[in-house]
Amino acid sequence: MKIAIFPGCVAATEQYACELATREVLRELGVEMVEVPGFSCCGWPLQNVGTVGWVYLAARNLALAAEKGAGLVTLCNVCNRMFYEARALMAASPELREKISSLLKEEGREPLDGVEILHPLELFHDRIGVEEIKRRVKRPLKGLKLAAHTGCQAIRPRQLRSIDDPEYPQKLPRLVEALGAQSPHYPEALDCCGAYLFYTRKDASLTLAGEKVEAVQNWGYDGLVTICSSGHRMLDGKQDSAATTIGKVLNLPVVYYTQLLGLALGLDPERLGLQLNRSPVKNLVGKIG
Amino acid sequence: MAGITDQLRATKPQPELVDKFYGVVEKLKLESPFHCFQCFKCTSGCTSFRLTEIMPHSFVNFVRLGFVEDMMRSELLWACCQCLKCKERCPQEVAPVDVIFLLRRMTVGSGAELPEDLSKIIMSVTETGFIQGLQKVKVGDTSVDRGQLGLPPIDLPDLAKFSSVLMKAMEEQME
Ligand code: SF4
Ligand code: SF4
Repeated sequence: MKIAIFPGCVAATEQYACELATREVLRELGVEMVEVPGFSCCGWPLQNVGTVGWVYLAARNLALAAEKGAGLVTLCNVCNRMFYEARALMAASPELREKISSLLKEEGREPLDGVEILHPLELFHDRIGVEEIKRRVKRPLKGLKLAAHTGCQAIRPRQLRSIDDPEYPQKLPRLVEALGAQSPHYPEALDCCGAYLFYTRKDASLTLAGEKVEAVQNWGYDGLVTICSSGHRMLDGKQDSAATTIGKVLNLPVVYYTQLLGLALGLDPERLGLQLNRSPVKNLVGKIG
Repeated sequence: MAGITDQLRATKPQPELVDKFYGVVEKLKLESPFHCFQCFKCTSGCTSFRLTEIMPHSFVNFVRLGFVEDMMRSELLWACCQCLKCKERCPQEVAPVDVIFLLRRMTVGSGAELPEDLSKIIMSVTETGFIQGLQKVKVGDTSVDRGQLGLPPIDLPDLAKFSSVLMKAMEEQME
């Protein structure tokens, strides 16, 4: 299994811990990675202004991976959805497919089908497997109670692809429990982080993020676990502004699943980018035996 | 959002835009708003409806009735957070979020301005390939970039070519 990391804009330009931790744990778990220079934005923002532009960007990224014979692992839920959606639209509309082909030809590329698009949940839960992860744990996260945030775009709509149950996602909680922690369900598990309202309704976006963090905090969890760079940017990166927006005190540690996995595998917190998290992750790391 | 009787009093349906709307629905094989039976399920679970007046079932209904232009002009188009719950849960396989995004594209295509922050990230994608430039992030009192963290460089080998093909792609219309 050869894998190329598709960071997407948020991880590539700002959420560096996401890519750092992913690279560290994949290396540790023996997953072969290939570098694909030239990846860009998945296309999402352009979806607001037209169809051809964004589908072209998605198809171009897929073609780059295909040229290297690599599967993609997406670090942002939205990128993952956009790739599947671009493919579905090209299959539905020969006219669109024709336009995309001729645009790719201008860059000397072909639209290549069949690139494997993996979500980290599929990679860790379905490929590497919960049992294998359990076997590799060196520092079990005993006594920690962590809430899982799978994120909207990974699980909906189910017609597009099926990464996890769209109403009751269980893969992330199971992966967290494989590390020795507990991850019980909570009523706000499906609540949205607000990431894509940030560019059109900032206050509403920060309110969504703040209310999500507040709910998890009030249930008494030790922290919140994310698997998407866009969601993490809201819940960790903007936790302070979200607190101001909703007028509450928020101090919930938020970590990427890959950071947590790295800690359990015994890796150095700095190599997992934990110094880059904005929320008080020290409170969480300090509880690990 | 406005009630249906207010709407009927205030304006008339816009048949040319209805044709245009359905033309795209047909071409891209999107779900048809005509299958909607106004059960309200989409709105009852809508994330943004908790905080704003957006009502996805209402967008679908007004489009069904032909008020495409009025819906294109609604500020509430920009209140959707794309949680996709409406698309997932609709018993009729209508996708209100797709209706909303098609209306966004139509309104931008007709010359309406984009919300400022959205417009900025779109500009940045066309110029650099990403929604923003590479950020320096804070660690204690200093700040670091990708390279200092040991991450491989992110660069588009031929940025001028990338931008020109992307601009051309964006000029091609399906809407
Ligand atoms: S859930 Fe579907 S059928 Fe029900 S009102 Fe919304 S769009 Fe119409
Ligand atoms: S995708 Fe938009 S319209 Fe649909 S439920 Fe979510 S916020 Fe509401």
